[in-house]
Amino acid sequence: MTPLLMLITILVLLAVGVPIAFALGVTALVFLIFFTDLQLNIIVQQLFQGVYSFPLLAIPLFIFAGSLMNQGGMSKRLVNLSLALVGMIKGGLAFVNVITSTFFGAITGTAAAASAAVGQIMIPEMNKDNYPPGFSAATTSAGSSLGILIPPSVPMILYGSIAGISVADLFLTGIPIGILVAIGYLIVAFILSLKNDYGSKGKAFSFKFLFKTFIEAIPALIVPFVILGGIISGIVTPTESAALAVLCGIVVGFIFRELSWKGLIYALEDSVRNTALVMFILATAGILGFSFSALNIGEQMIEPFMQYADNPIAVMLLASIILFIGGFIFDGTVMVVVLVPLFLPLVQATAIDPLQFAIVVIIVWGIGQQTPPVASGLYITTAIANVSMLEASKYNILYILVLVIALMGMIFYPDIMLYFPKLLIQ
Amino acid sequence: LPGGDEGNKSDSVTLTFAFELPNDHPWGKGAEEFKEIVENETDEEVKIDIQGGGSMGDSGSEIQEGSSVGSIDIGISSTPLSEINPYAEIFSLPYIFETREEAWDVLDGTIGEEVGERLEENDLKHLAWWEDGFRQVTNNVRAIESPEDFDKLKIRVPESDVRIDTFKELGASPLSMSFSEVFTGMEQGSIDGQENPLSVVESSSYYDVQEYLTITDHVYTPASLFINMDKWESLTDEQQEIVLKAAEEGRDVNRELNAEKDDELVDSLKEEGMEVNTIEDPEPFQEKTKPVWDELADELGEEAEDIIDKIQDSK
Amino acid sequence: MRAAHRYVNLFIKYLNNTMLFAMFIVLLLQVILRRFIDIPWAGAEEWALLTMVWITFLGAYQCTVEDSHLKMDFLQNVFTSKWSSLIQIISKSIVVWFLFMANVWAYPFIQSAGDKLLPMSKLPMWVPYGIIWIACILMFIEVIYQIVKEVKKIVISLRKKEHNF
Ligand code: NA
Ligand code: NA
Repeated sequence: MTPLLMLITILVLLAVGVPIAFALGVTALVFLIFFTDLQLNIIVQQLFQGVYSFPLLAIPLFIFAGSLMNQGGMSKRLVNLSLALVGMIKGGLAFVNVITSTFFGAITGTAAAASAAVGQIMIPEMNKDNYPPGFSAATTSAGSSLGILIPPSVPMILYGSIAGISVADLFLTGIPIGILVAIGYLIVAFILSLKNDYGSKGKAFSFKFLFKTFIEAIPALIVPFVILGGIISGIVTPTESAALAVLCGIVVGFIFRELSWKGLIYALEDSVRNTALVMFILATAGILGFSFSALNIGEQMIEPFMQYADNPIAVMLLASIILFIGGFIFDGTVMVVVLVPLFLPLVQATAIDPLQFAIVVIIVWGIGQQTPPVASGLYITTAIANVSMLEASKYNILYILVLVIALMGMIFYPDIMLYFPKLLIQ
Repeated sequence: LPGGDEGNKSDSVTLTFAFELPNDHPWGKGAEEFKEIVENETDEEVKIDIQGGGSMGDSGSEIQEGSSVGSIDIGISSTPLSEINPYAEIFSLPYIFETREEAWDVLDGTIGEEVGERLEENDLKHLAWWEDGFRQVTNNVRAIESPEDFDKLKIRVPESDVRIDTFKELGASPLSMSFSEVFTGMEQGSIDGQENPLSVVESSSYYDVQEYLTITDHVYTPASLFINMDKWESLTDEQQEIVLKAAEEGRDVNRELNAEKDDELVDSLKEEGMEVNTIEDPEPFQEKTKPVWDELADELGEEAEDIIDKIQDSK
Repeated sequence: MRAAHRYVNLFIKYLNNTMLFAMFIVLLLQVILRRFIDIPWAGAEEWALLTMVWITFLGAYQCTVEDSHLKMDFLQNVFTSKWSSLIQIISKSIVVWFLFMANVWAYPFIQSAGDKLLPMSKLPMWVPYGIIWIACILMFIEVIYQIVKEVKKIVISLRKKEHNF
């Protein structure tokens, strides 16, 4: 009963326009005041504890790195390379978009960074070529989920630190899964473009153009190897790899001579804002998490699931459904910090492969970034394309379907889905 | 709802009992014993609400802070205790205790009481010395047989000056690293090893990424069981006595289980493929780490020196 | 008043940017010192996390000033301006209540827990707690300021109505 009351309170607060961060904090506070006799001077401690965790440093630093790489011209060069690869096909810009997102996913750790970088270049280009703006926004938004599936990935760092599993293994698992999803996106883009006759043919394929753009993109293409290599060789820990990514952004920016002092300041300002948006919600979610323990809500929420404790598939399906529904209004970060720890004992009891459950959570996290109203993939892309989130979502449903198929594959056929990852890990 | 319907009986009080480790850890078992005794002997006038697994705070720091401001009633803290009571660090000096029994004698006697009382400055009433137990070293380079084997090993230690100094004196390169990064850090080789009680080595699956386990017994980590001072003073004399007794009974469960478990853990870690060796003669290690004692004594002053001497004499 | 408001915001924005860059430098130094110079910097994590606390809470202040916190304002868009102002006042008052409670409780808490030192950097805890407190006070003032503006809007629109009659 209490969990439901809390959810209703949060929704009412959101409906009158209270920012999400405050809606969470107010709800926690109201329930703590009315239903416990705890000393509430602890609220500052909980705000503090909500953000005082080393792996969370990956969030601001990867956001900063993404912004720097965008300012430093990396995204433009990756777009050119993708153009040389697939630009000649009819409807090719949609493919270029997906492939650029795949490349960019390999150099950044968050979806928002990926959608901003790719969207700023690709959406105007697609508009010029008469693609519907909703489709351009949806393609970019969906592509941005590759930012968290393909390593480096902030969600994987956070999940690994909370569940105590190897982030390096998670990263390696993300490579084939991310590529599979990217192929799924290409198929969707192909079907939609063909059916609706989107776009025109680009320049004919030329090896010269491919070679030129490849050379130009080399520094950007090296970045993923530097980051992954840094982790695998043990030079940096997964969280520190975010600082390595920032360093790459600065160095490559200077190599390209495209990163100016002004660009650096802009990247800092932009990153502070985007960091605070996520982290402040996480801070107030800290109070919410505390109220969960004080009111024993964790137990109340998990109890109904205990009857499925002998059925791994049921546990994963239920967890996915809860995270999927939560994903409409909560960022994945909040859910992984507040909700996922409630599931972990159950996962252990059910003997689900921790890697399998981790990827299930990350894929649902990616889906949550595509479902409005809170959809980090859609914010920037719809703003650039100047369409409503609903309009973009009409096209996005098919891309989301790709993620859902990947999710089902992960739940029902883990052996197939984890075949290549396990090879990589060994 | 907790505290709601049950709190109506005006003569009954519910105390929350929080710790960071899971409920099936010896702390949890000790907490159960504590709860049973308190509830039975006070005729449920005092009830205990056990909040294990970090649900009210996932570090000793957070829990001692919560207890001292009153959002938590009863709590346990081990290593972070020295943040609010630097004298507790004395018990964590390298090789100051060679056996469990030696440590227990000191902690349960006047010295333990004296150090425990210092928590009162933080509005905490110390109830009994529970334990985290002896800490052991794992690493990926070599089995530790003599202090020389520590040479240049990158060992992750918790955030404590004494611990860092200890490993410096042994010749290692100690460093602090967020607990959450330790597993991947050892797997990928950012660090060579770490030191923790065996229960942590097991529960964090360090056996998957570490080759050597050395039973060094280099540090004994006690843990203070404390209660918020206002809550303590609100109890009747009789209730206070029962709580103290229960704290000691719970402590004994905690200690017994720890001792039992350590033997089992060595076997199961061997089965997981770790190469285990034991340091039979700790003397060369003691010699090397002696400067750490002097440093701490210098830092804390005469009283600390006094306590160290008393511990030495008690052997 | 308005100038002071602008300078405070500008100053905090500038400090926030500096803190983010400092976070990067601290982590980079940590890696370099550990890996290449072999003198691990024990306090690095605490310093980096301190910048994080700063960016989170004073960044949240910046978002409050810019009114860019994530929210769903569909109700406000549905209604006419007067009603939308009223709903804004309600939602902002709820925020003010939360910040007020946080501020009231922060003081005794920092008094009792502020002396504790962070284990490696030896920084007293009142520093990070104080950052949170100051940010909450600044946000409190800012939201009150915004509420006053909304009230003025309503008053003006009511006056206009009177004239129409
Ligand atoms: Na990525
Ligand atoms: Na969503």
